[in-house]
Amino acid sequence: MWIPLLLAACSQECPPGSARNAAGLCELFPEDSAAPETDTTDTADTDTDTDTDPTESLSLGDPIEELGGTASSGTPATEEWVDAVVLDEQLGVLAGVGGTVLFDHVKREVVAHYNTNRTYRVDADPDDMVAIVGTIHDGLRRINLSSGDVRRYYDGPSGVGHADVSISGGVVLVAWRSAGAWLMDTEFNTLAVIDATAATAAVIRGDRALYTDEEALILLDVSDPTQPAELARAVLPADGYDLDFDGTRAAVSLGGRGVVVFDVTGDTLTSLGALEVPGTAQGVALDGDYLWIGSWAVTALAWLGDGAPVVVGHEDPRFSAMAVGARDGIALVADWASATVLRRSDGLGGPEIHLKDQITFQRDTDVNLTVDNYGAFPLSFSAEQPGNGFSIAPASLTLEPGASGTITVTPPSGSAPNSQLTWSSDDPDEPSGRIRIMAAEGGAGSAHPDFELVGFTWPDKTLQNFRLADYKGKAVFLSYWADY
Amino acid sequence: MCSLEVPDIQSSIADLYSEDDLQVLFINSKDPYEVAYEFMDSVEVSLPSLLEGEDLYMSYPRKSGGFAPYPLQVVIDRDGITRYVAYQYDAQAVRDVIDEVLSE
Repeated sequence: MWIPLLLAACSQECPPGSARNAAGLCELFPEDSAAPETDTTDTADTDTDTDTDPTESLSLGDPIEELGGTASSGTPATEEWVDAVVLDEQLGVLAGVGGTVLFDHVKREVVAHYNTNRTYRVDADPDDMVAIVGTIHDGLRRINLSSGDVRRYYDGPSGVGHADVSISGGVVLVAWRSAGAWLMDTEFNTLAVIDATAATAAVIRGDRALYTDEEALILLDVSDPTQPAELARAVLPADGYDLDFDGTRAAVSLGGRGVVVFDVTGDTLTSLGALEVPGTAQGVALDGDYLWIGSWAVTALAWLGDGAPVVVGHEDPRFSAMAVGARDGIALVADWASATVLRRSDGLGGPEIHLKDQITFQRDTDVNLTVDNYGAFPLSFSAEQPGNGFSIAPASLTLEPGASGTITVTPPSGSAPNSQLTWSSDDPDEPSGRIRIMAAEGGAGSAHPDFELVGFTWPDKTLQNFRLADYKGKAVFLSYWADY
Repeated sequence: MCSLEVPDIQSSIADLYSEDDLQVLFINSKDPYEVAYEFMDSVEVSLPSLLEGEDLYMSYPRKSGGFAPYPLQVVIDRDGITRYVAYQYDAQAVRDVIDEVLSE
């Protein structure tokens, strides 16, 4: 398939793997022709300390295509999807506030709905067509995906939600945040309690299982699930959110600390490298030599083929990429209000631009606009001078993979109107965009309202008053939340 | 899943700065004290949890178009000026703004 690329303003030749067509654009070689092994020596080897550039055998292009979703931004949210699993080439399972569903990811339709309250995690065994879900405050459920039968388990330990669940070959591994990791059968008889005071993520596949406690990733031999044996452990810098494992590699997401990938062959845990992604790394899904990551702000795709993992693409979610399931090149994203289906292409990577769509300015004060390249190829960016007396410098940037650049926006002096900035790039799925330049009013750039609210600091139960004015001289980070 | 980021904020933001430089506050809009305490107890996060923040939450400019899950993240500088307002939790972006504020 011919994919035209925008030419970077600074380069004369087409990037490796592509050739100039009659319209003057660089087109990638079609996938079924013998695309030459591209030597991307003009790509700086920035983040890896291996001899070879991990992107050497990738061609330039956008590796992620959105096939569709079940809801679009702008429509009211009726679902809140938070986890997803792909079963096969037709079906997947999604879990959320409103329950669990069997989902046809080809037609992008719900096939069956199971009444499971406030569901937080799901895993499924496609061979047995059984799913296990973990709910907040409401225990575990086993769902027979063929018959629709849902079995509830009441008597778990009284940890409040935040359990992870996994199932393989009739054995269930449950991580209870404050009661450790348990092995159970599908009738919810406990087979073994793994000695841990807290477990945050878990995965079982065949006779091997992994879980995270508050310090480490632990590998277990569960060939006899009544006698799990620890094989290896690796210290982690933060609690694990989610785990995936395919027999040879394991990926663990660490929230704001990114993702770490491990080689699990030979029953040892060897780190292959860490990945940073925009947002907060929540859900991970391995698919052959690729890894999908749902991180709220983006769905990222990483390539594991040459040792050190490298991010090769991002896709903006329709809402928030809470988690991902993947199989055979298809990713099913639990995209909050939408079930979004993505497809990846083999052997393609590209520059990935990341920047805001709005900046606010205060009277007579410059604003810095940061442009990031989250991709695996160099990014070219250029912007037009905004109207209404604003000026920008510089007007263009070239960013190596993983690099950031800054454009300074200067408002006209005195009382300035709003404006906008139009930009273009050689990111194949974001070739252009517009940034609104807004005068600060009530948002970023203006004084935050002083407040005085009653509150407590765990473990202390006493209530006291908290005022914003008490923290003048410090930076303050407010995070609003609600129990759901 | 608005409560999910609470423990992550501890490890990905609060733990990385000195208490002299950064104050992290959780603000809950509508849940009663018992629910908020039970939650903080379950995740063992020892950062202030403020209650009845509904009016304050509604005072921020609304995100135009579309929906987002509940969370709202705000960074305020040493002079009390709002520097960052976001409807999605992005630990890296928050750290970038805090670093910028602390370097001023």
